[in-house]
Amino acid sequence: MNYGQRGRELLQDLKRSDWLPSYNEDGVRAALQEINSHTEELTVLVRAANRASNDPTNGGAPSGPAVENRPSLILHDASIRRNKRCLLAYHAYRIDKLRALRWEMAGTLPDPAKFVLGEAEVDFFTEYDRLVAGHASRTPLAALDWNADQNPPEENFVQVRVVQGGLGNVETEMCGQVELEKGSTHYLPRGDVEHLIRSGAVVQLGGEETF
Amino acid sequence: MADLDNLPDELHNDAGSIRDEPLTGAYDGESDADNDATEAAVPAALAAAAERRRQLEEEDEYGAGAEERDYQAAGGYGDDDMDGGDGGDDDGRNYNPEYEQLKALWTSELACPELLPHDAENVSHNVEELARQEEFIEELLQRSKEQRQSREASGELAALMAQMAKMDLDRTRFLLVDLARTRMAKIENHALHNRTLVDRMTEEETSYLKQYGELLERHYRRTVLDHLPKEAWKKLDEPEMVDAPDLEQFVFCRVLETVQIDVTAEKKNLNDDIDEEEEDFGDNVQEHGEGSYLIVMYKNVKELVLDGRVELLM
Repeated sequence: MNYGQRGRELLQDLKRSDWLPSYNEDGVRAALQEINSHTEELTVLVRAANRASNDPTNGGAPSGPAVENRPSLILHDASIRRNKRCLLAYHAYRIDKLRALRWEMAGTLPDPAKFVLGEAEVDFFTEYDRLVAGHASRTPLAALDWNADQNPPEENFVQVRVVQGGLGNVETEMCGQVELEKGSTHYLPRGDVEHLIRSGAVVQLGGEETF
Repeated sequence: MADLDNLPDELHNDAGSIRDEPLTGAYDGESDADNDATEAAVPAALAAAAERRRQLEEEDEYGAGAEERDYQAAGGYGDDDMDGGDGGDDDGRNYNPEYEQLKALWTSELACPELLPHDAENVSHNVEELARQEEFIEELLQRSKEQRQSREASGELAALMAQMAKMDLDRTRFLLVDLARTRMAKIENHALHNRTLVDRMTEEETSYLKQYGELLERHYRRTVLDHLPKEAWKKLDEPEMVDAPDLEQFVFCRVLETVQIDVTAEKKNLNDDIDEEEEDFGDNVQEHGEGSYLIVMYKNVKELVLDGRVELLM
């Protein structure tokens, strides 16, 4: 008689993890199974109740299931709705995180994330990305890069240090070609290095570093 | 640190010396193609501030008006509605109403829990401005390079002007894109609720809402709903399931016209268990004069915001 535990476990999973826990296929299936068992019991009860209320001794028009049968019907229905709500909340929370990730990563799904997502969610990510790109291209602002500038721009130039090797050269508007050797520090226009900062290949220096 | 107040004067002097023209020639507003391009190198804000100072000394109002015309001709941040005769501006800044409006739009969209009506004209106007500014910056950079190569001048001032104009451009770009992104985020977060607010969205946003709604539904069906036995439980849009934005959020706002605000409904949930002696506060309508700053629950000022009589702040 452990109603509601499956749903609760799913949600607690979410609460306990940093970003997202791996897609709890078993938990979801267990919750759905619980719904199904509720449905079966519910159907049995409804049938029994209807038979009772259609009893000729009740006199004519059936006014629905008899009063003594109602609490169990309500209980099962409420449990089903609760499980449904938990499941939907679980999935909604996950796709909320996915949407935020998409904006952070500008459209590419990083490999570590792929491990925690279910199949449907990976599909959702790609579809969502496609949708956003499609929308951006249809508005009058299509010429602008929507993924850039998540924060209001403060400085025109930023100082960055390269932490990832093997990036090669980068072409900038005003400084020509700059070679990104690991460990080198550069003073570059913000727009050119922003996508690198976001992907973690270079690190922005705050200007307060001491040598 | 650079003396930015005197910078436009220096620039004029610098340009004047390069092109070998008298100083006053630059201020009289004589339309000269070369001169125009040079003057356009100064962002309107700085130039207007310098203008005002000059005005106080010379009282040459005609000159100021002509300068503005020059800026407009060269594609600087001017406003076609502003008269040439309107010499000094409000507080010495070249007030670009479109830009200010965009900023106000962005601020209120960020501060407001629900989607606000869109303003397509403003957006398209600013997008055109962007294109013009880009060319203008290109021009400046070009000139800076030429100056450096021809060794006439260091080309630094033009480069500095280019930097400032670029900063300006970046900011406008950011405002436009962030406005669009915030609206999109609001549409997504309250997708079902926004079906009633379609008239506040542009056409593209409406179709985006539809597509996003379908995407959501497909995802839910695939993961949860299709495994549910009965049809009645597969519904996603029952009233209690629709995620409405939190209209009881408190917002900062500024009153633009004298208004009356009904604050009766402001009972906090925390006070539920405390005995409330005065359950009914009666007609708790407060009147607030223009210019006052308030913190209110959004739903109490919602109508006024949409009317434009109260403005949201961050």
